[in-house]
Amino acid sequence: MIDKVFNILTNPNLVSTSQNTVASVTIETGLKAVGRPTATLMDKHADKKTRQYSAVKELFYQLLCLGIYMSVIPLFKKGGFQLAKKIFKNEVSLQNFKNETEYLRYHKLACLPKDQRASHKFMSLIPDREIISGAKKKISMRDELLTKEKPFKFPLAKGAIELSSIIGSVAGLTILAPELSHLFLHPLMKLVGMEKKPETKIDTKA
Amino acid sequence: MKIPFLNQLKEKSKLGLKGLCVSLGKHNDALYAVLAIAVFKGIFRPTFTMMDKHEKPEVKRYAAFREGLTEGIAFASYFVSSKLLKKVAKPICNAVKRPEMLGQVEHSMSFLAVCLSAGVIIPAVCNLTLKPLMDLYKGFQKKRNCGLEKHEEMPLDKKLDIKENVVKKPVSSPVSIAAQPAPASGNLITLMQNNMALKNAGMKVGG
Repeated sequence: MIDKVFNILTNPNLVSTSQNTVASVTIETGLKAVGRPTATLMDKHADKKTRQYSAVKELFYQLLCLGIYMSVIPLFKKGGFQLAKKIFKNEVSLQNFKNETEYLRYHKLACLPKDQRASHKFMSLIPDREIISGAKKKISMRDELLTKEKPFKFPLAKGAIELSSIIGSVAGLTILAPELSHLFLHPLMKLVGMEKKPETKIDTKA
Repeated sequence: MKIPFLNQLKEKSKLGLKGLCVSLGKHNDALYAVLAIAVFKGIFRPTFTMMDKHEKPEVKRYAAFREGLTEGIAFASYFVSSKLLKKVAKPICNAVKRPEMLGQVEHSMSFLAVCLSAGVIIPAVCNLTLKPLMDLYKGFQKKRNCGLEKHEEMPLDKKLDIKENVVKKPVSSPVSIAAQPAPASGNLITLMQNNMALKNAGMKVGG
């Protein structure tokens, strides 16, 4: 039993997701979209119509937040990586990669066990370009992934992407999404025939 | 022109940023992003609410307090659940005799704690605690309004002597602040009296 739990917890996909800001926040917002309307419907402090109104509004709000978040976050990731390349001009770990997409593909493969890398769909997208690895030696990017048990993961590049993702998540979910969602929320509520606001309202959104 | 102090500062901030990026690259945790979001939501949402010029001060204060409280609950839930679940990681690794995997198990546990908090713990805790806490807040508001009423019963010479010494009572209802009628703003003198009374009772809102 404990072995199964351990295997689940050390699954490369779960470990990779848990260390990825965008994936974590996306899953968290998705869970909010399910959990909060459910909790609102179960709340016994308000009448049925109020609960339904609040639950539907909360569901739409969270879904809109998710949509807005997912559309703005690639801009932050791209901008953050390019800015880091400018700030750390002498850091080879950043200069090895053209953009954040190239690095993230490399990182995804580097996290997999060695025997699974060659057959992965990303392998065909990895350029056969020389990079300077952790030991300051020139090596082909493909060779680094295919020959080494533990390829160098370039933590500075990964950290630059994660930091810009955290900044993007904060800006997207605390400033942009609440303001933009107002533009769509009322038409959506009208569409499902719930625009008329009940007298009392419960609000559990965070 | 080169300024040595500014150059030093630039270099230090660059080093600090590099250290932060390397640290995040090696040990990023799902908890960092959600805590940052909770903190900034807890600051921005009440601020935006208080900046809304279309709402009454009482309603704004009530909504801002509620939003701040919800984010406070979210922050505490994420933090506590993550700390608790991370403590389970070590016994699991020891049981399977793989202590070198502790870091990975802790990251996974932290992620699961975030998911559990977002989907179950925060909505449940908000449902259970927001109502009593908001009732407490309303009680506190009611007490302040009672203080205001006492203020109105001051001797005549200390009262505002405008419009036959009549200061309109601020509307206060512990049941529903949101449902209060708008103050009679048609009369400028009455409005000035109300504002003065609120300031005297320490109820100034929104700077």
